Amino acid sequence: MRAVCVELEVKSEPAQVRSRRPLVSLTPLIDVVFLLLVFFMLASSFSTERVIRMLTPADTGIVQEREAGAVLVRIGPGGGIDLNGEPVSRSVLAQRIGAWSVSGEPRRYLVQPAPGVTTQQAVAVVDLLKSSGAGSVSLTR
Amino acid sequence: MKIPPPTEDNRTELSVVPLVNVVFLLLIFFMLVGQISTPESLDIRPPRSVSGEEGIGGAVKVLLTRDGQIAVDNIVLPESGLVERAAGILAERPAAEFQIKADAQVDAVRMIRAMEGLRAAGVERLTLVTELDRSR
Repeated sequence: MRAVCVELEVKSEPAQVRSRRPLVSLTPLIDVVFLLLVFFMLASSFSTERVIRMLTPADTGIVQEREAGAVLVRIGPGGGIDLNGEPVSRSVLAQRIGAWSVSGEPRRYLVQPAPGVTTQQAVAVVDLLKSSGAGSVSLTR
Repeated sequence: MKIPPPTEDNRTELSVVPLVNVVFLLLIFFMLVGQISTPESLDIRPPRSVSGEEGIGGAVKVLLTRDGQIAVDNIVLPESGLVERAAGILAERPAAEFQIKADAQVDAVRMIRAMEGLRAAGVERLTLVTELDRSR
């Protein structure tokens, strides 16, 4: 098949047009595409950032009213957790909050880290509360 | 079975076109998936978390490092200047969202104090930046 085509070309085209070089060369295009590729590879970042929404007074009106019925979760300097003043383990805390969230009682949770507690520990407790079903969690000191 | 040696023409044609295809695919991938953002002035590793949502672009970033530095929009400030700077930004953009990006090792009380400062300045939309923990 190929041989036939070539033969036809030979017959019909003059000698100088017969060369198989395309009209527009591909090489500069590839150069530019490579440059763009390198640029995007170096400049782009694949961040896995998430944000946790924090309550502000504008969300719920008066602060005192908001805190009146809230559950206080304190984090001790060693990482121990207090639920309304009673020391609890993480699993017990998750169970209680799970039970409260099932009963449909709208509760608010205040997380109060002691001085010396890192942000990572505080965020871990906020995570635990949220994954157990707590609706609104805020940080306080 | 005899394979004829490739001619000059055949060889270049065979190698370039699939290469260009793959390079185009990579280019499109990086253009769509990667996000181009300005690098941050301070080195911060945010706490890891499983909860949280996608952040929005264009938020004002408040950076807190473990050695006590504060930066708003990549400009390092003294701790006392935070409220004033936030109020200045809010005067220009009243609906601005503020993102606190604190290092995981920062004292939580210090971070909460910064949040209180922002609330006092009148910030109504405030979020805490975490990094998605894929290991859990």
